[in-house]
Amino acid sequence: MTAVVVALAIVVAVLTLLVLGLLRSHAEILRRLHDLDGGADDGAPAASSRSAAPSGPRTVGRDEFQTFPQVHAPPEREGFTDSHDLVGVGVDDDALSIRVDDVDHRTLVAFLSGTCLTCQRFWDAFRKPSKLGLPRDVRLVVVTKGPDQESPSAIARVAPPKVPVIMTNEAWEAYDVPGSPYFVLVDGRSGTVQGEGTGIDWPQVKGLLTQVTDDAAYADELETRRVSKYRADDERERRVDDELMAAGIAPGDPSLYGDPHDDDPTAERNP
Amino acid sequence: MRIEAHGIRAQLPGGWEGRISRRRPVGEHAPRRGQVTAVGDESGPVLHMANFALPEDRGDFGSGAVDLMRAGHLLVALVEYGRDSVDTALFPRVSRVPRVTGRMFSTQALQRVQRGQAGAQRFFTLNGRAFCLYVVAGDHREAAARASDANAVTGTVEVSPA
Repeated sequence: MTAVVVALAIVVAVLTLLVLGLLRSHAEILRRLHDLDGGADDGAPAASSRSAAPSGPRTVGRDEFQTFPQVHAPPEREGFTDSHDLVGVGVDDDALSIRVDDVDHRTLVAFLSGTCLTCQRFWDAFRKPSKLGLPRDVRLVVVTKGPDQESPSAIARVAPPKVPVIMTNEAWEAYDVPGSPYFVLVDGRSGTVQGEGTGIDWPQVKGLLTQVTDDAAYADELETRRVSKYRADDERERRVDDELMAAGIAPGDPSLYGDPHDDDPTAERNP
Repeated sequence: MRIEAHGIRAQLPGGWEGRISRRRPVGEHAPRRGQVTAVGDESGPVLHMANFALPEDRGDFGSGAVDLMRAGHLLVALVEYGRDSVDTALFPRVSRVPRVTGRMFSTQALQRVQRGQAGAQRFFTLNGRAFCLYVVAGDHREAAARASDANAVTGTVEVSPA
């Protein structure tokens, strides 16, 4: 009997230790999640120094942005650059000028190098443009650094025969390209950059391209679905606006809002 | 947008693009890609200018490109010939790239006949170099308008002396 009691006591002690261990582990997990979420609440100071950060959504700093080792981090700027036509030399002792603005198609500008290992995947993929699955309105153009920084013969060895390859340093600067490989999608109709980014292979870049295309199509669809005003209402509104403007009453004019005392029956009026 | 190579310069208007390359000899004399060819080779330069996206796979007189042309499109090719053509009867000496008119365009004047297209050709010697100017309009009914466009573009072409 004594042996049974001793054995049970030992089992209870072990189970108690396990439960305490689990509680401690759970508390540690909660504490770390709390730190990640932005710090203390209810004015209580958090234990770690990171919890001093302001609460709410946290902006990821550029230094904290992690990319694959073979992929360049995004450029440190807001928004896209302006679009620029491409002028340079080719690999066949030729000169090229390629229009990306003021044309009725989009241009996917692929900034590649003859020496980077990741670029080789793209050079290989571009040898068969028909298998890239590009939208019909997208033209692919490859841009390398100029002959002073890239070997024309090295580029010629990898250059796909059916895709224009242009060697120019100016385009890298104009599009603020952080490194190769890098891709910029320009809409020739609006003359604007629609998107930019990079990836470790063509399927990944194609995914970005598809997303940009889908977003643009979605925006167009929203525009077409927008409910328009009845013409009579629209015309009346325009006429009233014109008459007010002709009378020198611009938007925001105080007279448009009347005297606040007019609606107050208890207000005293001046004689 | 300016383009310049092999002693030929051109200023391209909005919506146009261009290439200046050397004619490619075939066979064992064909240069490797990436190799700079020496000036004076019989493989003279070719200037292509177009108001549409030029394909990479195209011939000196636009084969490969004309297949993509539609109404409103225009292709201008300036092809240099060998020294033995300079100042011959077919290549009269001129002081600038000659103009084309709508009446010069013909559906039969195409290197490669394409339905609905029309072409015009002028041969000349400019600054001691013999050239053929070849213009293709995507729609023969627009020949007059395209001739005007072509003249505006070729008017910017400058050729260095041989």
